[in-house]
Parts: sequence; C-alpha cells; structure tokens
Amino acid sequence: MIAALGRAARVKTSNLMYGFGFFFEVLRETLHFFRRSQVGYKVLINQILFTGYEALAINAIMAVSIGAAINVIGSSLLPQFGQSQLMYTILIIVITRELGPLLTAFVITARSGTAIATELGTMVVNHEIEAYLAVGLKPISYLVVPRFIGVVVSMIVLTIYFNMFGLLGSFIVVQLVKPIPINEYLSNLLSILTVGDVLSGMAKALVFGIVVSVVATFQGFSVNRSSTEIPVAGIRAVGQSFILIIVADVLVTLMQYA
Amino acid sequence: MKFKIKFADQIVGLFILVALVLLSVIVILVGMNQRWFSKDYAFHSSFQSATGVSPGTSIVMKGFTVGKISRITLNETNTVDVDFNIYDTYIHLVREFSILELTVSPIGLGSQLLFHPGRSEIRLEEGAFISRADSPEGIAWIEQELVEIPPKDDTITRLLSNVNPLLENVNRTVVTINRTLTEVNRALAGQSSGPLGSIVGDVSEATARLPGTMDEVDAIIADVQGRVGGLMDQVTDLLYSLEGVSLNVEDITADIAATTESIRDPTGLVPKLLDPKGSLKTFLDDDNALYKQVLGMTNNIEKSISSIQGIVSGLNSEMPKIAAVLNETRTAILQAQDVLEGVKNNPLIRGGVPERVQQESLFRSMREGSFE
Amino acid sequence: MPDEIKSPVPAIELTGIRASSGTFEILSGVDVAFHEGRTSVVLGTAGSGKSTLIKTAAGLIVPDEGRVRFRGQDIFGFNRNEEIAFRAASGFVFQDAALWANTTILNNVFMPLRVHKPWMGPSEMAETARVLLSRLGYDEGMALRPADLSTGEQKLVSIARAIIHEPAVVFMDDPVSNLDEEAADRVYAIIDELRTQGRTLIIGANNSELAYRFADYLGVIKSGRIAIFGTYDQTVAGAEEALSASISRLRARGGRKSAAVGNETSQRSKP
Repeated sequence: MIAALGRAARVKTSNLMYGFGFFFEVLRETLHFFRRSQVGYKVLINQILFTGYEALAINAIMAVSIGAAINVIGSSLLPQFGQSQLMYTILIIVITRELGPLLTAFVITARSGTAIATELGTMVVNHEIEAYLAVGLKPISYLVVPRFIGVVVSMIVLTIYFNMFGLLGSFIVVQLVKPIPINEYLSNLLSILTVGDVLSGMAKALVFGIVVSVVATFQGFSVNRSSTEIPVAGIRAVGQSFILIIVADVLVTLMQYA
Repeated sequence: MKFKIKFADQIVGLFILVALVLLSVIVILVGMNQRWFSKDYAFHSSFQSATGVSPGTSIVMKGFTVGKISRITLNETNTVDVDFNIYDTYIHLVREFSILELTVSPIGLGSQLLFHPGRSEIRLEEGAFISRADSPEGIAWIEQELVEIPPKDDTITRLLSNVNPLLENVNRTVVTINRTLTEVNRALAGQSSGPLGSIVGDVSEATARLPGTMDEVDAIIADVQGRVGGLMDQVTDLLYSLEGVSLNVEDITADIAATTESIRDPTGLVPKLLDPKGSLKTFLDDDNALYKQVLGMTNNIEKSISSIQGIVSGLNSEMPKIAAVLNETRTAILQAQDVLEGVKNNPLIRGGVPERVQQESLFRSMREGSFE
Repeated sequence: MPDEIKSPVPAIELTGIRASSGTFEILSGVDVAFHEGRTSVVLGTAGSGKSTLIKTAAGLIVPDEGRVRFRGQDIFGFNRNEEIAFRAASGFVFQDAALWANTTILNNVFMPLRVHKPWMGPSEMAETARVLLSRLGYDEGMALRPADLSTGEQKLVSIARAIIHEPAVVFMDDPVSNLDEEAADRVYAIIDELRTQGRTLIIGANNSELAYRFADYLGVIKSGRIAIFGTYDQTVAGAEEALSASISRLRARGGRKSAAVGNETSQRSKP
C-alpha cells in the first residue's frame, strides 16, 4: 500500500520532470530555430495558416457579439446608476484583459490542440517520427517548434484581432441598434484603455499559446504504438489545456493585480 | 486547398502584418490620448492628507481634465507634497492666485480635484507652488475674489438642497391642516369659539409656499431618475424630515376619524348646527371660501407629495420605508380632502364621504425600468 | 570465415542492451557487434525483437540499459553535430515504409538531401531522387502522396529515402517485405551494389533468402536474445537445428557463389 503510493508518487514526479524537460527542450530548440536555415519553415507557415488565419472568422464573430452585448447593456443599464463611463472599463476588462485571450485560447485548443495531438499521435503510430529521427531531424525542432511558434504567433495575432473586433466591430454593430457618436466612443475608450491593458492581454496570449502548443505536442508524443491511443491523446490535450489555461489565467491576473 | 498552399506565405504574412499595424495604431492612439507625445508642465502643492488623491487623479476645471497628479509623498513636516502636471493646452490658465480644491462628493461618488485659475495676468512658472483652497492664502484669495470659482454644478447636491425645504414646507402644511382639522373637530363638538379665520390665514400662507418649489421639483425629476443610485448617503436626512411628516400624518388620521364620527352622529350635530354662534356655520356660510382654500391647499400637498414620490421611486427596492411614509401621507391627505368634502356636503345639503377610486401605488422596483 | 577480416573497430556495437515496452521486455542482455564494410543479417521470427534490435542499433530506440557505439562512440552521448554526422552516415529502411504522409513522394525522398546536403540545388536533388527511384522500378508520379501508393511502392520509396544521401551504414528492417519478386530482385541488385561499394549493411530479415545472398555475418535472435552471431559459415554450421527454420533451410542449400563476392569485397578495408 505504502510502496504503491511511493511508486505512484515517483512515477508522477518523473512524469512531471519529463514534462518540464520536454518544455525546456522546446524552448531551447525554439532559440535554435531562428538561427538555422529553415527546413521547418513551411510547417510553420502552414501552422499559422491553419491555427491563426482559419480561426479568424469564429474569433471575429465571438469578439463582435460579446463587444456588442457589453455595448448594448452598458449603454442602457449603466446610465441608470450614473456610471455610463464604466461601460468602457468593462469593455476593456472583458475584451482586452480577460475574455479575449481566454476565448481565443479555447478556440485554438479546440481546433489546433486536438489537430496537433492527433496528427503527432498518428505520426508516432506510423513510425514517421522514427523516420524523422533517422534522417537527422529532431522531432522537437522539426515538428514541435514550428507548431509551438505557429500557435504562439497565431494566439497573439488573434488576440489583437479579437481586440479590434471586440472594441470597434461591436461598435459598428451597435450603431445599427443604438447609435452612439463615434468620437465620443473612441475618445472615451482610448482615455481608459492603457498600454498596460493591451500588454496584459498580449502576455496572456503568449502564455496560453505556450500552454496549448506544448500540451498538444506533448500529448501527441505520448502515443506509443496503438492507433486507439490517438483520440485519447486528443481528448487529453484539450482537457489538460483547458485546465492549465484557466490556472495560467488566474496566475497572470494575480501577478498583474498583486 | 491548392489556392491556400500557393498563397500560404502571402496570407500568413498579411495576417500578421495587419495585426501588427493595428496594434501599433492602437498603441499610438492610446499614447496620443494619454499624452505621451505632449509637453506637460510640472507644479506642486501641499495637502494636509492624501485622502481622495492618488497618482493619476485628474485635475478638473469646468469638467475638463487639465492635468494629472504625478506623485504624492509624505514629507518630514507631516504634510503631503503633491506633484502634478498641467497639460500644455491649459498652461495659460495657470496664473497667479490659482488654487486647487479637493471636493468630496456628498453621496460617495468619489472626490474631484478642481483647479481654479487666478484672476491675474501673471503666468506662473513651471515648478511653482499652487495653494489649496482651504489654505490661509487660498481662503484670502477667494474672499478677495482673486480666484475664478464657478458655481457648483453638482446636480445631486442641488437636488437634495431642494428636496429638504420642500419636505419642510410639506411638514408645515401638514401641521396646519392638522390644526384646521382639530378646529373643525372642536367646532363640530360644539367647543369652538376660536377664530377660524386666523387658521385660514395660516393655511393660505403655508399653501403659498408650495407652488414655487413645485416647479423646481418637476424640472429636476427627470434628471434625478438616472442618479438615484447615488442618493443613498443623503437619504438619512430625508428620513428625518419624513419622520416629522409621518408623526403629523398620524395626528391627521386620528382627527379624520373623529370628524367622520361626529358627522355620522346626527343627534349631536343638529343642536350644534342650530347654535348661531357655532363656528361650523361660519365655516360653511362664507360661500365655501374657506372650504375652497383648504381643498386647494390639500390638492397642492397631494401633488407635491406625489412629486417627491416620483423622485424617490428609484429607491423603492432599497428604501421601502420612505416610499411607505410618502404613500401613507398621500392617503391621509386624500382622506382629509374627503372629510372636508364631507363636512361641506353633509348636514345641510347631501351626505356622506365620497367614494374615491384607489390610485395605483407608485411602488415600482428598479428592474422594471431597466431596459426601456 | 577467417578472423583477420574483422575490422579493428566495429561500425556499430551493442553491449548489455535491455529494452522494454511498458512491463514487457523486448530485448535482454544483447551484446553484438556489426562490422565495418560487412553485411550482417539478423534472422528472427515476428515478435522476436528483431525490429527493436535494429532500431536500437540505429539509435531510434533508447534502451533501458546498455550502450550503443558507432565507431567506438556512444551514440546516445552525441552532441548535435555528432548526431547530425551520424545521421548523415546512416540510412534506415523501415519495415512498414514509414513515409511522411503529409507530403509528396519527392519531398519524402529528397528530405535527407535537404538535411545533409543542403548545398545541392532543389532541381539537382529532385533529379537524384528521380534517378534513384527509377532504378528501383518506381514509375508513379513524384507529386503523389504516400497514401496513393501500394505498400510495395511505398517500400521502394522508403528504400530510396534511406540510401539517397549515400550513407556508410544502412539499417534495413525487412527490406523485401511486401514486395513482389521483380521488385525484390531490383532491391537485391541495389543491396549488392551497396555491398560492392563497401558499405556497412545491417539487415533484419525473417526469411533465409537475404541471408543466403548477402550475409557476411549471420545472427539469429530469439525471444529478445541473440542466440548465435558469427560469420555466415560459423552460424550455419554451429547453430542448433531447432534454433531456426531458416538455418536449416540455409544448411540445406549448402555453399554459395555469392559468398566469394562477399569475401572479395570484404577484404577491402573501408576507411
């Protein structure tokens, strides 16, 4: 019983250490990636295309609708308390600081996290990873790093778009329902928006991008030989990413307000 | 698929480039709005306490932000040194005798740091000391009218300063009605020989005060609706006044009961009516003049009470007590009107206190109006 | 085989290898040396640990215990440059082809050139790939994906990918599985050419044909252990009857012509 507990703890610890080792290896190889002539360049471009560009539409829809909702509620409810200025604060907290990065990360997890995990899992089962090793391409530098960079870049870029759509797109939508003068809207928004807000969103996007890509690739490689492990890896990638994203969100937020 | 492979580089490049451009535009706009590229002029001042001011607090003049506090420190002499910047667009306002005034909103909406330019042609140099309004020199300058101080434009303060006298008037009128009713009762009871005329005089006087305030109330009611949320802190004051009203209302109610009882009792009434010295005869014989006056007065009170009720309707969910008292007052006054009507009608002409259609209560919770 | 044909340093040497998957032990206590410039064939039935042995020898599987040395150096202790040098000097033919599914045949084949000979222009790389593939008898399009090909064709592409960068050591895990006889003959021709060029071939096989044709050294792996390993004649003569059906078959075929060719080439020592 105690021995089993001890063994379980040791396995957990060594798994955790392996996870951290994997993460640091990814970071190390990422530094090399920019220095070497690019075999993985095409993988990177395709990754950004898939993870970033193709997720733009859903990202925009979410941003515009959330922004519009805040706009409508904010411009009808808040004046009753004499606090109509608060709308801009809420808009910035929700779009720029919190939901923007978070929802973008969820979308990327659901789309690219599963895709990456199952793709890598399939490659393991088909011995394609060993084939890369055999040619001298390290899987981490050739397969993980382009996906890592691609997801992180996409995440940050999508967060910028989320801001644009959430803050401006929603304004345009609200014009159709409840017009507010654009000058007033913009000057109020910009006087409350700080670079700190933007940077905070970016920082979260960076952290979430790292989390999603590392978890997805890690889970993809956790497949050993059987094809039944592939969907399991996909599910684990999503579940683990969600949990880690929320934990990271709390940590980053605490760091900013502490 | 082919299309994407072919233009993948271009699409991705554009995707990232547009985002970077947007980001830089946002940052530049934010920077312009937050005056990274504008010249600010530094000044300093000294405060007794840093309560209500913090770095970043806006310095406001006539509703415009003219500067910001950059730093506050507690110095060796236990006063607070305040460093602040004035934007270059407003630097011409920083003249001799300019002062800073910290106003704390009476209803907990935070504080405002106001800047009042001095009436002088001499501009202050950057880094100069600017006095507080409550410092000796500040007070002196204000007294000598060396400082341009605009009238306070805090709507809620104005509103509250209006509501309180109004309630006082209401209270006074209610007291007068009370006295009138008492007199009527005594007349009905055959005890009165008192001068009804003097009461009438009082009543007219009290009523005369009402209409003037009424207009003002109406004008600010609309304004008030959006701001009631902040009224809470001042509500205690209102309650004090209301309690006075409430006590009197109870008296009125008691009097009404007595009057109604007397009217209903024909045996007691007839002898009293036959008594030529009876006051009631006088009361009724003057071509209804007194009656009309009293009725007009109660009408006004009723209106003003319902106005106040309108003001405070937003508070209903929070402060049912106020609403209840106001409602009670209205009901009592309506009853008083009915009784007077009854007094007019009863013994000689027609009988009875008229049936009145119950008016809908003004109780309404805040949420119902939220999304209109 | 006389002892003097042994090179001073074995190309690949495995000592005390133990490898497992989960709790299941695949290899235990494996010590074997594959000599420079020779063709070594390891015979084994399915599930005997043959593939794991070859992959471990090529450094694709990290064993739980033991060491693998390439020309005397521990391959799991390589730094990046040494690792690249080792990969440039080696090629690997997978039993199930293991082509990269998300790219074209052409990209699959010339990937080793892009990694190890980046100075070659793209057209030169493509030309090299085309020539090699046609020698192997591959006649399908270059822009196809691996999934468009039959397993036999995939195997040919896989062989091309393993040898296109002219490695000194070629690991082959069952190179003629899934191939028809004609295709197999073309593969035999390629292997023969590689032998005459003095390359080190390490071949895992589950039938006797490859051993009979090419083996300078022959080993038998059974249940994760090297049952016997030595020169072809030693193994064929020394192995117990029961060890492997393939051995009995080789014994029945007697002496071979190709052995002379093999001996002749093996006399040339490889730098």
